[in-house]
Amino acid sequence: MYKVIIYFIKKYIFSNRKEWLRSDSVFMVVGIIVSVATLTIAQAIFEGYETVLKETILGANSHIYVFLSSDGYLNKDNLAELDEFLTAQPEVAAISPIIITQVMASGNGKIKGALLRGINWQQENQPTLYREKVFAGTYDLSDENSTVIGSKLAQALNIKVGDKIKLISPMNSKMTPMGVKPKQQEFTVGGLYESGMYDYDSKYVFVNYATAAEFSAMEDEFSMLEVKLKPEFIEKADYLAYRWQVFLDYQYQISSWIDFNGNLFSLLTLEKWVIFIILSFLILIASFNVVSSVSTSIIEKRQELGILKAFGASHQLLQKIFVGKTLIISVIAVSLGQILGVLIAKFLSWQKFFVLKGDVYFLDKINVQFSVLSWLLILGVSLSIVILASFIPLRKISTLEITDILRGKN
Amino acid sequence: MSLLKVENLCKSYRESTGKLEVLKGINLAVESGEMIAITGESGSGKSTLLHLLGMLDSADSGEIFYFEKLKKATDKDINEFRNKTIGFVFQFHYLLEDFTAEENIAMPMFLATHNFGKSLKEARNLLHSFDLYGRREHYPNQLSGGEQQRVAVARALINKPEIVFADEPTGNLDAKHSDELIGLLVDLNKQNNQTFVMVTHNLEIADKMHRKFHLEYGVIIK
Ligand SMILES: Nc1ncnc2c1ncn2[C@@H]1O[C@H](COP(=O)(O)OP(=O)(O)O)[C@@H](O)[C@H]1O
Ligand SMILES: [Mg+2]
Repeated sequence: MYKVIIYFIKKYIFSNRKEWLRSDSVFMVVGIIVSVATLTIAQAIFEGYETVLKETILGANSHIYVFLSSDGYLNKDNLAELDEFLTAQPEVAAISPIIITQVMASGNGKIKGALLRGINWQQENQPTLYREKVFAGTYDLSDENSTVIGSKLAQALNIKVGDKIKLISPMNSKMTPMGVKPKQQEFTVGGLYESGMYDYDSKYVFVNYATAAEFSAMEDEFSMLEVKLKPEFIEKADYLAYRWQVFLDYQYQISSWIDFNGNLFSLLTLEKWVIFIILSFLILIASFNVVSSVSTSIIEKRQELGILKAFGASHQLLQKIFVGKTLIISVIAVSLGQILGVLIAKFLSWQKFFVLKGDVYFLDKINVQFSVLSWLLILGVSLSIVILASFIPLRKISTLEITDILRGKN
Repeated sequence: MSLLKVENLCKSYRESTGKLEVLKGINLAVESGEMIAITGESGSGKSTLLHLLGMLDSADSGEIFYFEKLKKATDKDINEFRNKTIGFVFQFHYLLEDFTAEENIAMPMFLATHNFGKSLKEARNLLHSFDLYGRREHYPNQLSGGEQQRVAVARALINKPEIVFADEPTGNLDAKHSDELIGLLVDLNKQNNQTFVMVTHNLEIADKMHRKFHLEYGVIIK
């Protein structure tokens, strides 16, 4: 039976009359291509965003953060206890304490809020990637007047490597005869930091421990402890954080990157599926063209179909020929749609005219990614919709009356 | 044993003005190897009768037997029956436009056997004997009216049917081509003992057949 079907489909597709070049076939094909391309682009952007956001978040943050449960900071004893406990855990790759305090940064007459981060900049294996994210200048915080600042902050203050920046802290103010005088100090920007996270790049100012301690008025104290996990445990960070917190008697508040960003990723996944479903309706609309195109083709061929029936072709056979023909055209159209979608998505990620709002979306570059799963999914969903649509007009074949056709009645 | 036997066949059509009774009890029998002519005025129901005999339509009442076996157009195996036991030639050639002459002829056999090579070979044999071999790769619109009709006859014969129904096969041909086609059918009958039932209102043609039935007032008048 399949031989016969394939024979007929070949005949119709390669026939001199080229019926698939008619406007209704062209509309059908174009409709499928456009809707599939749109769906492909949307999925590529969502997946690219999800992946890059995760990479960026994990690249710019450690996996677990340890704070003191009560108000206050981690002191020497706390750190000793945590150090002993955490270095004994098989999941831990690196730990490092950090001082964080709010400052005002000013340069070139402009002023911005910033987050001062006092880090152990010399540590070889840092829980958070700093060295790797300094893209201009040098990563050297040995001098008490040297700093590395976020690229977006530098942009906002119009600062280049080698320029001066003044940091002002309200935390360590001094009473003077003139009134309260906040701590302020001038730094030389030695390097620029860029994580890709808009929020970080527009706020972070890195200094060494001593400088940070002075700005925050913290002596031998740290804001928190950052913990890096071995790669295979990253997805279990929330569970580990909880376990350690219990083990350490709730003396510390231990959170993971999942606690901070988990909702974001579930929301992204949800959104991705909602968009997928909504855009599938485009294919549904495109499939209306399939119904009309197949109908037209059946009506146009009704005499031929009647004759084939008179010579013994069953209407099941004739229906299969029409479904097969639609299937082949649809596979081609869907594939073209996917190729077009990939090309447009690639273009979107390459161009620089249109960018996302970094303060809203965390990232400002459009990233795209293509996965086999979504490729198969789009192929499957669109083919199913189109093929189901092509079934609708098939009833016309089974109700064909041969005698009407032979009498030339319409 | 008659090849075909018909008892009391009745057929009517519903029309806006009421019921139009076209066939009011047809009785006839056709023996193997016979050539039968059915004559009658236009609108007397000749095509209707032929469609019923060829299982293309269902009668209101009455019975059709092939080799003493009751047949109905609604039978499950009717497609196969139409394909193998019956051949059709119509007033219009009704060849498929996208297919060449040889492909058109091969079609009923291809539908039956799914063997395209064998069907094409058989089609070429027929084209040879019909003097059309040079035209085998021509499309229907590249053939003359006479050639189209001969290709249609070849298509009706490829599955070696027991009986061929022809509905005014010369209706669209000029006198010369008409004579040629009838000559061909008579030869086929003589050489292969092929049974034909032919509708015609050309009495000259009807006279060349073994027997004639005249259809009038919905019944057969000999
Ligand atoms: N499907 C139909 N519906 C209504 N009337 C029909 C139909 N088919 C045929 N008729 C009528 O039946 C009569 C016989 O038609 P037909 O068998 O084609 O005659 P013939 O072939 O002898 O010219 C005609 O009057 C025709 O109008
Ligand atoms: Mg007629």
